[in-house]
Amino acid sequence: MRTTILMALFTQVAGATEPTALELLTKTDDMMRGQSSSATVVMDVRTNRYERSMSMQMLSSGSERTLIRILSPEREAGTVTLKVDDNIWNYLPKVDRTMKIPNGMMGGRWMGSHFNNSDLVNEQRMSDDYTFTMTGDEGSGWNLSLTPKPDAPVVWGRVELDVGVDQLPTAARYFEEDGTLARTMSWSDVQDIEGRRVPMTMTLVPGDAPEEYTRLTYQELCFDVDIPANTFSLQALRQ
Amino acid sequence: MRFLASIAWRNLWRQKRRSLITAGGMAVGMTLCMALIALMDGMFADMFRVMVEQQLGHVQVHNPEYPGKRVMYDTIEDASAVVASLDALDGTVAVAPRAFGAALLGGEAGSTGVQLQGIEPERESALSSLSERLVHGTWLANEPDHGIVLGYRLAEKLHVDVGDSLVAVTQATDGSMGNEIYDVVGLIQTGAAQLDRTGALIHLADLQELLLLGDQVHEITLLGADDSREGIAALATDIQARTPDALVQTWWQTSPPTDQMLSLRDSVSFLVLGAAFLVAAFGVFNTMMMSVLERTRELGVLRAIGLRPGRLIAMVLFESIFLGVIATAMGLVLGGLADAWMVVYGIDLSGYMESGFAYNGVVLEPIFYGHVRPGGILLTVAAVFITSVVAALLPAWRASRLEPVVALRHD
Repeated sequence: MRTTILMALFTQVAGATEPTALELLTKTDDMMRGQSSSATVVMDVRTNRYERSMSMQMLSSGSERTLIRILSPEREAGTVTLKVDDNIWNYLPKVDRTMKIPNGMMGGRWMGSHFNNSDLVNEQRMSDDYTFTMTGDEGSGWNLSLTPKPDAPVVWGRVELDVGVDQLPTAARYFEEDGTLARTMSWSDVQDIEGRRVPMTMTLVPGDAPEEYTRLTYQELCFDVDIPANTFSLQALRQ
Repeated sequence: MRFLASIAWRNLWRQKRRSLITAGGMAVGMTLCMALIALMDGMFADMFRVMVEQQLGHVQVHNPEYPGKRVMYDTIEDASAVVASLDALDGTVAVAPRAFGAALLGGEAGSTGVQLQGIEPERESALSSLSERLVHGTWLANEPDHGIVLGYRLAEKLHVDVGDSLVAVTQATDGSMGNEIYDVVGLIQTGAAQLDRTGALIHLADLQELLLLGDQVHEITLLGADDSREGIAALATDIQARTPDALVQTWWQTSPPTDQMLSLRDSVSFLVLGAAFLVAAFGVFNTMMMSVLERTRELGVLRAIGLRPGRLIAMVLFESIFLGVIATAMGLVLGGLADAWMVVYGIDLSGYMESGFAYNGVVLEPIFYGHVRPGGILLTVAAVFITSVVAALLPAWRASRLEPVVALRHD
């Protein structure tokens, strides 16, 4: 935390000079994180088998606590996913039960999207877990190549990160240990939200099926909102 | 020839005690073999029942893409119509459609990933003996009512019993999160380790609703009236003609490991027979050799008055074969009694092991019951005759090689 603040100060002071790779990574890590946030998101999923669109309310407090409530479609409205630290619970309104996702099923798809449950609990910062090299400049943007540190708890063999001239990431390609492309994440539609520049659209494309995707589009997004602490509790799931 | 046979028969009774002891030895060997083969056949029949009749069926029908990958979307469409058409097929005893879906199954005390198996309860009980394997509670109702039957080990793991309810969560075919409450109505103990540990059976219609499968299934399993390989293969051909786009497989095509395991039956039978009759063969050899040696003079006379060597060989072999006939008669009586004992009482090993033993995922009961096949008995009888002939070959050859002049001088 202290490092982050120092880094921020440093960035302020340094002003217009060339950003370092670490600064770019930190920006990417911090892009979606505030003290707290509240958002309405539309998730469009397209697979070879089905297409679906859901809207959901997302509340988060730091990176430890997240609550996602499905608003539509009807069949799943009221379903809530609660994430606290490494745990995920799903509240199922139809049967009025809450179920914890067991460790063995963290790799399962979340709500039929290309995200899996462990993506939700992932709190890792790329700047902590990877060593990196950078090419590019202010005129053309930057490309970062990230290799996991020897004992870092990451699943990828390598990550390539594209950063635009505005110093925000535009795409990240995640590779398996054996070098095959596992997934591509891209960010677009950058908007000013309360003084932050934030991409409002995030698209995930699986490496083995480039015609499929999951796209998250932020409809509303507020940072540093007041969220009652008991929101992130099992008792609150049924509301 | 008849004359030779009658001489051989009489020769046998000149040494009544010796002949009877030798025949008795073979008869005891035969009895042991029949009992052991019945026991082995019983074990293999158990395995066949658990592996084939409870799970594989005689013939299985799938979408060609389904086996191996088991992707939820690779289904047989218009399942009701396909099942009806297979029902109408001659030679089918039972036709049972099944669907499968991976789900998270949870109760108050925990949750675990399972393979939900959707079945039509009435059809499934006509096909497999699963419904007789209940250790607690009842079988699924014929109409879908959100009942669930669990493997007893799975129920232990989830800490649930009959009367409790469980939530199943799964990804339906449209990507949505399917979830439903099911009431535990029964627990089964099948002997198949996988089914006992992860088996969760619900009504096919309930699973189709949970997964939004409509009128689709993943598997149709059939039992034919004729359980011989030829009968099953013929049934598979008939089924293929009615379902041209589907993959139709006999049980040994569906599960080659099961086939290999069951084919051990014959190897084991041969091993038992080989060991027992190797010993018996020495007894027969000894008897026949003695019988030839002590009659050297007599055989010399027969040669001298013009009996050709080939006839002499035939005479000795007849003698040995008659020995085999007597042994078979005694052996069938003794062995029949032993078989009857094995079938009725079995061998109770529960003192040595509590819950039976597992072999290739099949848990066998600790009481082994015999299973008598005509094939097993025929094999034993054949072994007696082969032994009688083979063991007498050397003595017979020896008899045929006697020089009449030398033999006549023999004391």
